[in-house]
Amino acid sequence: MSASGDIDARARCMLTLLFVSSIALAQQQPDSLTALQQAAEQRTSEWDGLARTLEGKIARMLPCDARVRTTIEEVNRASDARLAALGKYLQAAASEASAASQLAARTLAEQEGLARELELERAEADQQRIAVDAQLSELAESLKRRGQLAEAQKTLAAIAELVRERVAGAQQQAAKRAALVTALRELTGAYQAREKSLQTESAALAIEASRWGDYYAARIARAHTECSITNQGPSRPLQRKKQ
Amino acid sequence: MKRAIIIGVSVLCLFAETNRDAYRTAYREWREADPNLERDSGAGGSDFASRVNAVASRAAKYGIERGSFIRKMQADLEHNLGWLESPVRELQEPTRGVRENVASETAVVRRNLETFSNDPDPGIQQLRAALDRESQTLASLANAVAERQSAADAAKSAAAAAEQARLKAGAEEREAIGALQAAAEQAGRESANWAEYYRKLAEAARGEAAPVPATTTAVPSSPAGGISPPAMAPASVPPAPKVITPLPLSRYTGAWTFPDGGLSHGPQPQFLDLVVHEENGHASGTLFARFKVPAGSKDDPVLRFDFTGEFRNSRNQVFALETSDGAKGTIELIPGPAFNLLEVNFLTDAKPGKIRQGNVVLVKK
Repeated sequence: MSASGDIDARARCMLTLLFVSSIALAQQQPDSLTALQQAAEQRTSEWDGLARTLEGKIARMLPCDARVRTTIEEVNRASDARLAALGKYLQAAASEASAASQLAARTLAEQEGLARELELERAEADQQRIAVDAQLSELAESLKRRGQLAEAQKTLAAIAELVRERVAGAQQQAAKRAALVTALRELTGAYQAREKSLQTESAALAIEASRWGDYYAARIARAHTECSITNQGPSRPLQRKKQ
Repeated sequence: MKRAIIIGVSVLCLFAETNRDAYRTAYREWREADPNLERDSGAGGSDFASRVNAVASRAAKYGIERGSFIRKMQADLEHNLGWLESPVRELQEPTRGVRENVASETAVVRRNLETFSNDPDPGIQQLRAALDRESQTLASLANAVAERQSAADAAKSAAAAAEQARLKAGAEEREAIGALQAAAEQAGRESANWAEYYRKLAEAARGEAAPVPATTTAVPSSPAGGISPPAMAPASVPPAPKVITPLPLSRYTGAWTFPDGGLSHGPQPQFLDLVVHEENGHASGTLFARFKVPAGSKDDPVLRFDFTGEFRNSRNQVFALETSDGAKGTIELIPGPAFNLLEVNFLTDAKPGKIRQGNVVLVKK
């Protein structure tokens, strides 16, 4: 490996670890994601409580009672708060999924590079096998002149066997690394699919939020009509928020 | 805090770099040191043993470098894929009351529409129109709720699939780590066998039969590769010394030093000398060293301690030490893959500004 190769390797490694650390910092938010989930739960509970009792409360009021409008607006605000909390939660989850997806893709790229490098292991082991075979051959010649070398020859033969095992081991290692790369590729795809599904859900939530806004505006408009047709006093229709 | 983490990670990264240069250089030096060794072994000669020793120490260095490269690769893999241990988070989305609310409001509006369906009163007609608009918004809302629910279900399925993929990748990661572990063990076996081989080569070329090690206890010094210890001592060899350790005492005793470019973990020695004595199975010795400390550091670079203890029937020997500053600790002597190498671990009680631990590979003087 050349000096520039060293620098490249170091730079790659640093970039990766910095990236991992940034992900770690981003994921330092399991607590914050949990907090967002709890907030969404809380807002949903508050809205649900108000929405369930809305019609019952309004039924006991006169059509032009100002509290009709404020009661509907209160539920509308609770609905907005619920949807906003849920939106934040989904966005945080999508952002975490995106970070995980990028990390998986980066790791995959690295491991693909390393898997190719593992070919070197096999080549080196093979080179060493050839060198040991040459040593064995020369030692066999020397053994003819010096019988005491027999023990050394046995040991060298055992080493030759170990080196042959290493050649086979290197092939197995390369196969395992290839399997890891395949699994990481599948994982990257799965993480990307998850990220996309969360983005889709976020978009669906935005549409749902808009529809809830439409509904509460229509509900207030009906209350206004109910008041106006009984001539019991003025009531303004709700100015709809732009979604 | 964030900055500290990033800097810390960067520093770690510098040490985490996996580089084949060290073991490749060691391999080349070993192989180029004396290419005719085997050919000349038949002739022997007075300087042959020193030629073998020179090659053996290079082989040992290669073994150490390659072993540490593989272990580093393994550690890097474990570190870089550590995130695979974190399960995919399943979202818990609160949906309580949403569908029910839409359904109940829809029912209310429908009832009202039915009630006023045939009423010709103009006011009621206005109300009907308002109810119609409300009904349409509720229908759109019901669709939007259903679509989001469907998106949420798809997200759940995607999370489950991602979790399955993560588990599979985690299993493959463990397989790959296991393969590296096996490779590290294999490298250790090879290294031990090379040391054994060169020892036998030197002995054979001296014309000796394979001699018995200096000590012979029930535990033979057979390396992991399964090489048998030498069989017999010739009659001319002096009687074997007392039985204490599974390896010859000479693997621990004597004067040892830290070579230029030697291997160390933790603080790096500028120099380090170790002397180990044995008398009636009792060990005593001294370690004296100066370590490299960062510029501007107020840490004391010098370390000196004495140690004593009993040799035991185990490969690694551990003795109690006391530094010149009175700190207590232990030193562990680990015979290296070659007869002239000794790995040393030491650890002392913490004292401000003092070196308290280290790991070095020494060569015999």
